[in-house]
Amino acid sequence: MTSQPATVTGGGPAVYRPRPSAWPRRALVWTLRLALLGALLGTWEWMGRTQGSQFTFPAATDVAASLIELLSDGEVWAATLVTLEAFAIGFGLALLVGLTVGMLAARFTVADRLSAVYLRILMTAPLAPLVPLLIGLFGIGLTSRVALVFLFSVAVIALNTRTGILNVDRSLLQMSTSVGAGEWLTFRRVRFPGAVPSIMAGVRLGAGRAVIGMVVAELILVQVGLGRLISIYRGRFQAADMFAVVIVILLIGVTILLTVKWLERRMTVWKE
Amino acid sequence: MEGVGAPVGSSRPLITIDSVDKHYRTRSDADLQALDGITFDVRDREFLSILGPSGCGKSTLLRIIDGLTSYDGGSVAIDGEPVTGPGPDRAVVFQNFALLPWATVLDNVAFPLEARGLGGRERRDQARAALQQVGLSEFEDHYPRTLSGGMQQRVGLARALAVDPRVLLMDEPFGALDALTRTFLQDELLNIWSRDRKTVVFVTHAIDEAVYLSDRVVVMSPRPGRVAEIVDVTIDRNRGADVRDTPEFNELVGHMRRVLRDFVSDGETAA
Repeated sequence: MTSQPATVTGGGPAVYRPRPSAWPRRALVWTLRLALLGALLGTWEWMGRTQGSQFTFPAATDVAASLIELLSDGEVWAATLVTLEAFAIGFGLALLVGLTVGMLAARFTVADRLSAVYLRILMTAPLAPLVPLLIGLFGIGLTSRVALVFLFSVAVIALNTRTGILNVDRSLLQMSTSVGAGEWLTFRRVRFPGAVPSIMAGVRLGAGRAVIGMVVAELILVQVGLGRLISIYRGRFQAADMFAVVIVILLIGVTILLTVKWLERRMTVWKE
Repeated sequence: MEGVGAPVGSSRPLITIDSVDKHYRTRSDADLQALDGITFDVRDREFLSILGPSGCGKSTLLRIIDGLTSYDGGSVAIDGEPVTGPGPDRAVVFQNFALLPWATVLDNVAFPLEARGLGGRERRDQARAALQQVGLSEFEDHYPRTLSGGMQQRVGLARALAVDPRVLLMDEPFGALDALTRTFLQDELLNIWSRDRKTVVFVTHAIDEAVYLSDRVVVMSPRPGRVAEIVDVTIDRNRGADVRDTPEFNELVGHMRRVLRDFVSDGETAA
């Protein structure tokens, strides 16, 4: 276990980098993963067959059939686009505001003191109770959904940006001062690149939270997109179809996270 | 062009350090004196080492000369100009290399040039010339992490040389390296130094390193840091690796070891 120095950034999980010599262990991990997935699907299938009914708890194979049908139908794609619209705008704004607030908080003590309370509240408080307020403010529309996605994801991005910039290796800052680099050059060449791993960990965590915000918005706030499909199928007791939509949402979430992880690795090639 | 065996530079002082004091406040608000009345000159184009046990303030003193750290009394001047901060006449080689892990070797070496506002083209040309001096031209596109410790410190040296400073300040530059790499880099450093003879202030706790490299060695005592002795290394400048086996060399090493041993044992008894 000593062969892998774990790199931990911004509270994110340790990054595991397989090496050629690690591949038998990788094969083992994949075997176990597939076995676990098989066991879970098997249990699901068995419970669906024995306990549930097609109206309440469908079997895995029923859901799979529904999923295939759903994906060949245009409606789910249209609904996905509607859902992603709120995600894209809300998360885009969260990136913009999160990075800006994080940088300001790292640079100016006043900004840090002002923002800290609100960021920590957003990080820890349950946000679903805010929903009625958002409706009151923005009405039942895209704006409310965007706002919820934004509120879910902005704080972790801002906090990780702040921490990353403040935690840059002090000996590098000393070197920068010694060679006569000004504040701006030090920021561009030392502080910001040094903060990238922490920032990207924040972006990854923020993306996860944004996906939650996106789903919460559609389920309890505004019935559009995939959330509306879920409600419709639930109302018609089409449990298999409803579960198929849930799986579509899961797939979207996983795709978003994989994209961010890929981006994260691209931006930290120097660590390899 | 001076010959390698020519007498040491001139005797004109370039850096004058006069009665420098430095105090730290500890967490419990106690006063800790790091440096006490440090006084010596560094002559133009000489290779001077500051030798002492850990805790004698030698690295603090080097940072004071660079202008990174303030001091509480006395004066430090370079060519008559008081030191108020880092300046283009000085460059530091750091103990832990202090390379930017996210920048390539070339960009690392070019960083001080960028700080001086040189354009991209000029910057790269000068950085490449410096890399050539330390023999790392082929590695300009590498990231520091992919290089060995010795190579990383050669990048650190190239970065310092790139700005062509008058004074090279070296803070235990080989302290983090293994013995073989260390010996190799000592020779390489002497080789580079003998080409244009910059003024070097070299901080170390290794006695043989100080003797091998230097024209003079300032031996410091710890708690608070004081100048205990300034030793002229009278050995001919044309030193090969075998000089370590000569009686003069071992005489000097032995002398400094005895001086330092007293401090260390004093410290042990006091503590």
